Amino acid sequence: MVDPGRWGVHIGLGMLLAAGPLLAQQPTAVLQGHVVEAPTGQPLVGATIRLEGTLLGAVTTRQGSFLLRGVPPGEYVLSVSMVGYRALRQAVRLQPGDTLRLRLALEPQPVGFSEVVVTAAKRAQTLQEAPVSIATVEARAFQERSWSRLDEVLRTVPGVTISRDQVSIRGSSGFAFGVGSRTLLLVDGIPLLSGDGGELKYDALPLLAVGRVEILKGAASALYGTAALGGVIHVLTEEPSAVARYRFRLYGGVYGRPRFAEWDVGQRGLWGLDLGYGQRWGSVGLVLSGATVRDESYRSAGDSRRWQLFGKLQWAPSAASTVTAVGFYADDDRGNWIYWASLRRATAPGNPDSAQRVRSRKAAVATQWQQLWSGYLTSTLRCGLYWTDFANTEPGGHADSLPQSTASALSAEWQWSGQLHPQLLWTAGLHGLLNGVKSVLYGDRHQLMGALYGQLELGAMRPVGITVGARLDWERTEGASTQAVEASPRIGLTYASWFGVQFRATLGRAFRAPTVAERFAAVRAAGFTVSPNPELRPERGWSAELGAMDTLWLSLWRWRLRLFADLALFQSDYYDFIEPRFEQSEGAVVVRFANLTRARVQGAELILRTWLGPSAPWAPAGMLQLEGGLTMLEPRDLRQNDWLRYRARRLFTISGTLLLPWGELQMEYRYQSRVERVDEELRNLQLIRNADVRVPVHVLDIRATVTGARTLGLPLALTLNVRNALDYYYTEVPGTLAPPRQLLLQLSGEW
Amino acid sequence: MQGRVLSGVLLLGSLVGGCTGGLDPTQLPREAFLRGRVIFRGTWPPADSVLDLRVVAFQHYPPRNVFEEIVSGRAVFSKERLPFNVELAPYELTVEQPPVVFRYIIVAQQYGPDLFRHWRVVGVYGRDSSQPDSLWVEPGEVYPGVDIVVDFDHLPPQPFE
Repeated sequence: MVDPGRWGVHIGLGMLLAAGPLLAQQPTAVLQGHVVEAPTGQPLVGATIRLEGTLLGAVTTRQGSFLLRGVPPGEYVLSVSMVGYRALRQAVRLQPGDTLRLRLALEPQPVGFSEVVVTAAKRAQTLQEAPVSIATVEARAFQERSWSRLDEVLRTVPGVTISRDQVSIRGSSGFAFGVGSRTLLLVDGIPLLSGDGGELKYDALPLLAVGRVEILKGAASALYGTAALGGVIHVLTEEPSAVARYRFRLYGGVYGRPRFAEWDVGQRGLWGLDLGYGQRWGSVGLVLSGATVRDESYRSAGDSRRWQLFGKLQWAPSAASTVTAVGFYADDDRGNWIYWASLRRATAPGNPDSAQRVRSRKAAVATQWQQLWSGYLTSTLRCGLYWTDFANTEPGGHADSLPQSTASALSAEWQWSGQLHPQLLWTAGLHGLLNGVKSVLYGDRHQLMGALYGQLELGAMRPVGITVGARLDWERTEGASTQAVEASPRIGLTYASWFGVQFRATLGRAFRAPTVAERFAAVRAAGFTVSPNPELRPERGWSAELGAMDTLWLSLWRWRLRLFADLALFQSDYYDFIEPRFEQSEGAVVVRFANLTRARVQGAELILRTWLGPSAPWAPAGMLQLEGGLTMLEPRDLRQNDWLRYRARRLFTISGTLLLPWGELQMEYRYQSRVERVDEELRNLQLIRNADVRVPVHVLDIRATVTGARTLGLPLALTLNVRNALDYYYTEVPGTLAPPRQLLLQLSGEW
Repeated sequence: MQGRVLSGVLLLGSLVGGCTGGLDPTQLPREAFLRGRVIFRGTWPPADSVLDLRVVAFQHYPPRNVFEEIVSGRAVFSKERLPFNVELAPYELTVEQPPVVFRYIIVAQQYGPDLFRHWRVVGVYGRDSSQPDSLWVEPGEVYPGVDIVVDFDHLPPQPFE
């Protein structure tokens, strides 16, 4: 068997030895300065400085200062951004040998309005520069809500739905028990899909380790390759802070007893503890975090215990070079809940193997070396090994005879970015991915992928920005009948209009190579017989989007209102869509993954945000933040002339946060229209009882936080979370009741 | 100011406490049950040609294929396989979504390895096997006495392709 770990060393050394000569140096200039908070003049630590349209940037130090050396002479737009502050852009002109000193003052503003993103172009850029829709969720937004898994975070994002282990961005995915994600998950740029089923594991990272989550909506294979058919979820881990930062989160609570006696399993609860630490000492930075969660579950055979550990070590030997190492481990032991006995017994399992328990472990190590070779050239080398393992364990043993799978996914990527001209950026790279699987379900398999990609950005040529790129992927899986070569081009346009509205347009092709699980699954579990299909081909798609965004500032006496609006129209066409189907094999009914259909998803999405109210010392930007998103979808199965399965056609979220002298109140409401269609076979073949009962989703979460810093002068916060406050009963996947009302109390602190 | 916030919280609390909705197990259409006996007559076929034996109730007559009708939701079948080489076998068939009319209730025998095609009708509910009886099934009702005679020596007309 090929050892992905050894391959990783070889690939990494090969890339290092292949480093080419640097570009010739030219006379340059120096840009330095301080960033301060506008009302107070206090230095701001950690603000991001960028020269737009270039690769040059910096982060302010503990004193709020920054220094950019080696800046080629010319005219630039300097942008300064920081979470919680209004972004600042300023024109600068540099002559050869200049040293320009600046004092930049940022105005406070609500979190979430000023966004620098890195996912759209594999480099930092403002949201307005990106030709695609990107949503971001900052750490603060989810760490106060007693959440412990990434899927709980994603449910709040407009246009995103979750069907157990499947993330669907704008209707791209349905439900296939988690196998074969059409959304790529990245952690600090490294793919994190399991090597066997290509699954997203939401519980791999403690949430205190997460600094920000970016969600790119639409095809992104031109940069990211397989699985980026519906979009990309990019988890950016916490950065070490300039001063020691200790954090904790302790929460616990209960599930509400259901209104129906037949669902009542007694009083159940859950609790969790998170610890985090981060610090930078000169050129070395460290982030550590860990978490444990014990969930008794609101249903039989659904309980779980989870441990998560995370570490990040960063070393910057020079201003131009950074080496980062990340590692994490998660261990989850849970009941083997697959589906209910029936709607009448919705909290009792119906799968015959529900007496088993599942132990699921995930671990990853990754390194990243970023080098700024000159003002014109930078490179990033990323290598990561992601290991997953699950085994069903009956009480009393016999684990070897039960479904099990161990997989490794080794990824190595070398990315180069440069500046050919002040208004022309390029990005190119090589990417290799090796999945190794050892499983009683799928056999011993290897899947190898290699890719070459390139992109040109005429980003600084305002008001028009053009992005053109393509990626060529090759994929081969041991035992599969074919090997695939996929070309994924993309073109994107941005236009900053004279009347303030920022327009964007993009057209791109994407694909997803079948996973080892989809091709080779041969198992009888949970009442299903799954049969292999080595003939499976990659699924492909084209995705197009037209979008516009604008921000309005209105002032009236002491009141200020900022309104941000983003409208997107989109269409995705899919070919050779892979879906599970029920068919005969040797006289029996089996489930088999097949290139089943041709599909089209059309839709529109409107996102509005506003922050209004009088300024006050405890809320400098205003008192009330409102944010809403409406997504309208038409997901069609063109071959059957019917709706695509497991897609809701209307998605709506709205949240309101009220800042008060003693803390804040928040309400968040989420709506999904009734799923149009499910697998009728699940009901008709009596595989899952009441498999097709489904209702619209109405979920209201309420949060009240008392901030100790404002009331007692202590760095603590006490939060009461009421999840699913309406105690509304619904399903997201067939035969699985979603959690009822939960009442949780959280004590958190940071100093 | 704080009084207003408190009033808001109390109002919200009362709204939340008063809201209910979503799935409701008590609102499910009540299941109906067909019960009866299968009476076997004649000579049982060789064991290697009786792979399965079920009671199947079809909404349409004549059906074209057992499996297609079941997968498309136009037929239901007894979850338990009928016993072989017996003279009498009681059965129960659950109807999850009444009301519904079954126009053709049969005992079907799987005689070959192909689950999709190798089925034959060996018994029909009704006084005359060429003119099957229909049954109107109401929610929550139990229909006893849906007896079917299987005469292996005189099989009924075969509707399947």
